[in-house]
Amino acid sequence: MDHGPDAIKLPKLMLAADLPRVMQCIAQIDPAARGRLLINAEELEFAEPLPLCLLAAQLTNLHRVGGTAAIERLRKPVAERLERMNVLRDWISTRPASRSREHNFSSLQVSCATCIDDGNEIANTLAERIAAFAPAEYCQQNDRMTRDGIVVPLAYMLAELVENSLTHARGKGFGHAEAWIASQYYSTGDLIRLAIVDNGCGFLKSLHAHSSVQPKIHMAAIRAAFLPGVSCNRNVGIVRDSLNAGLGLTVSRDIAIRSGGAVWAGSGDTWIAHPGREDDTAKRISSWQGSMLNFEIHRAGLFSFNFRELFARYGHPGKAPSLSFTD
Amino acid sequence: MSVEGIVRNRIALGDLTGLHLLGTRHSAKVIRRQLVAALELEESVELDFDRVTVTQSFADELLGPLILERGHELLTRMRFKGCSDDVRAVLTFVVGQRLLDYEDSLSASGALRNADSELTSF
Repeated sequence: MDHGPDAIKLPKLMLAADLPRVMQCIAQIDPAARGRLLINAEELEFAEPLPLCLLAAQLTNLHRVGGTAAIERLRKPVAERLERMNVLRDWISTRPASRSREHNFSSLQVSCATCIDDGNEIANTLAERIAAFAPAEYCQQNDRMTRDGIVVPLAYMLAELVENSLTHARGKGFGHAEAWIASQYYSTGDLIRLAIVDNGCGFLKSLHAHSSVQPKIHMAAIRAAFLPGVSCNRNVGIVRDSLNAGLGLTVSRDIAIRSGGAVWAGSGDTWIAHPGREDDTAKRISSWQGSMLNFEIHRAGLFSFNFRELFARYGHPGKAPSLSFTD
Repeated sequence: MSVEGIVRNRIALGDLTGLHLLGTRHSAKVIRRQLVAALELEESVELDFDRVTVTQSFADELLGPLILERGHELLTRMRFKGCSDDVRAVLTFVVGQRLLDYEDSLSASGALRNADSELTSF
């Protein structure tokens, strides 16, 4: 297959830290384009979860409007890893590039959630896989406590994030929205990278009517989404069959930060590092219809995580309710 | 979802779902319907959280609408079994928040009634 001058070239490294450049590349996969798009991945050596989710999401957007694309000339080890992910398998051409070089990305999982029923399953499965891959230094106490120490906060985050992507993101005429979730963890060290991308309505459309979004721009909406109690439909009545509390994203961010990690979020033309902190930093990016979340989490920090301390921060002061707990 | 985890006045979430963590509001709604059915038949109902962790969203969707409707009376008829420290923290937080909402809604409806009676007497 020939690579004409119009083929889209994936960069050598697709990193979340280089998101403006990654987004420029992804934006070239234009759903409005006619014919078959060729994506030359000859130089690609390493991709983090967020760019992979964006790539998978944009290829799906293209497919939805009848477009086709092929990712070609992938190096063998990169192709092997990407083919394992069901979200990219359909797009990868079987002819790899001749050169090959292995990078240290030990395990990579990408899932696509299309149905709200998927949320619990994805959260549990992904968290279990990450916990099972603990590097040697974390296997010395390889008992249930150690595994739970990782699984519980990770599954908690994942369930809340998938929930958001398949509910809030599907408002405002975006009922078709899907979510892509990817994690990456390594053979050494304790870093876990986690990303979730959706092609839904985005933070601004979702929270447009909320008083805390001022002015009505993407940057303000992303920041507001991390405030406790801010939700597109926090409902304290009994008319509707469902409620919202506006805490899922806030708690997910807190879990990552308390582990010693960090959080980034984007939507529309804005990408914010450390949303919710006074010293957050915003960048302009090529526009994304939907929302993007990127987390760095440290295994060691998850073990000491304490939900009681966390919720004490958001609860109303006063007497705790009297619940009948039994063993 | 199997019905293995339901024994009239006891709903065992782990047996019912086979999952370690229950997170989504959608899955909570399904169990809430079973809880409502059990409360209609039984004086008290036990929710068994053995081997299960729940998110704030799940707990809120499971219990929140019922607390907003029935207030403290609901809690006198419920027992929470096998809860880890994490689950206790989540349940205590969610129930506390929704009881405040319930009390706020009572105050608001009381204020409305007062306003109505003032208008009538006028």
